[in-house]
Amino acid sequence: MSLLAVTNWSVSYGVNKIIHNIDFHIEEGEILLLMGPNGAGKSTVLKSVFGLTPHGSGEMIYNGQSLKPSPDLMVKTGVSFVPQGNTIFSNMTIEENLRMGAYHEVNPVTVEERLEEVISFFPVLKRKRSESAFAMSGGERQILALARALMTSPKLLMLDEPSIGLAPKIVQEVFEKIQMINEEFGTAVVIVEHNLKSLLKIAHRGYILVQGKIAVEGPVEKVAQSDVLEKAFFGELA
Amino acid sequence: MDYLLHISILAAIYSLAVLGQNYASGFTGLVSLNHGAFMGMGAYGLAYFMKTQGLSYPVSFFLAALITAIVAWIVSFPLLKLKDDAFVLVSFGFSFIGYNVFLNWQSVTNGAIGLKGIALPEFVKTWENPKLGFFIFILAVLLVSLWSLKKILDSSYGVIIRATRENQRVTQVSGHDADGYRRSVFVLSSVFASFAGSFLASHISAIDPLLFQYHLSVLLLVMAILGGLASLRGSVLGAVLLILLPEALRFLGLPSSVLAQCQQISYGMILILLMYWRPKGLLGEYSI
Repeated sequence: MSLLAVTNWSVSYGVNKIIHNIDFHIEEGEILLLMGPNGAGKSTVLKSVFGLTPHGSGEMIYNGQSLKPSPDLMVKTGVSFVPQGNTIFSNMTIEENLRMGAYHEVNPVTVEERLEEVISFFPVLKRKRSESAFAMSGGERQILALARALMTSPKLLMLDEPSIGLAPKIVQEVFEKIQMINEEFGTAVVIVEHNLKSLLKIAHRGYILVQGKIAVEGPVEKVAQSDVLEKAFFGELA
Repeated sequence: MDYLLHISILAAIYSLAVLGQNYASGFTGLVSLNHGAFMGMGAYGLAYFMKTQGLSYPVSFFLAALITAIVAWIVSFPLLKLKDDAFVLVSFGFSFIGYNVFLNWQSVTNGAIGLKGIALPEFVKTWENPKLGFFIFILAVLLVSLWSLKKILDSSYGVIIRATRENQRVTQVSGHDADGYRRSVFVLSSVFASFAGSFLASHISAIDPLLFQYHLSVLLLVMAILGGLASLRGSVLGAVLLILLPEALRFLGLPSSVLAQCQQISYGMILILLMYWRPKGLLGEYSI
């Protein structure tokens, strides 16, 4: 049984249909790569699955249960999402940022244990835990956003372009952390990303999305060999 | 003595209104320019229920606040769809609607003439100096409000509402109903404005629409910015300073027609100077 399976999923913004009745699934403990040219609908898929964007039709089964997604429900059921761009609270300390990810947890002992576990996993955050997040570099901010998403011990982590705006060396560090999260916590990860070269080494499966439809799916080696992405980028599939 | 008491009552009333303004604008980032209209609803609500419906002061006071809260809740739906400049402008639009309702809803507000003979609460009338009793009562309400808001802001709810000011999207993806939190803040802040409006109506005993025109909303925001956004003590300081400032201008010996204009100019100058030299205000932790 898949951790998350979506069937006949469509999303519209007003009269514009962005996602056209797609099916996809995510297995427990895998890293899934969602690829495609700009405007293919990759981010929209993640947002709609998390409940940030209302979906038009389709069914979602998560952990064996049919769900109508909303951010609140998804976080409670073990899904975390790190959107693109500015993803931290700059005027809070690093520790406060992390706690923001765990306000659903009612047991304070669990929160403290989780905080220590997460902060130990990211030495850069441990060193600066009482400092304001305002002065953090782009890479550190992305690490902090990842760490906050882990505060709920998610089964599934969804990342929307985690490398955007980062220097290549930092991107490599972020991807290494994503792999470590997957291996050490057993967290399934879905990544929307343009920076494919490094990710192809760590991902297990992939989908290529073109104009709101799935064009290719399968093991990442198969997807990497497909010429669909190249054609889509150069306009031959448009 | 009466003059000092009058100024003190005004300072306490405006402090209460600015607490509400700052709760929304400073702590939550909802820079509202319609809290003057909410004050008007509190004032007209109290006057209407007491004078026209013959209800007691406490019942009228809380009914006015309830109606204000309901209006704020309804207004929050279109407002909270907007961000930043658009939010400010549309909230300003609502203050114009409020003014026009006060001006034209003759059967309730008595139009441009307004309502007169609004009484103080019954329980202060037994005091030798009822105005002193009224001041102490408002002061008590102000202190309870300060204490309550401090408790709210120190709670996990308070952390989340500040987070919505910082980054609404990330608050949402952390699993919090960001709009729900912002809506609750907007509604509660309108209740503080309503309380202040009701007290103002009792204190000056006569109200008309001009009192609750857009400039009142601007004044409340300037008071909050001067004292310091996201600061409870700053809310009181800003209100007290801007109540005292026009009084200080009286001692310059200017003709009354010029004096009123000078007061308005001084509010504008303060806002300009603050934005350049101290955008966080005197005690604030956050700048617009």
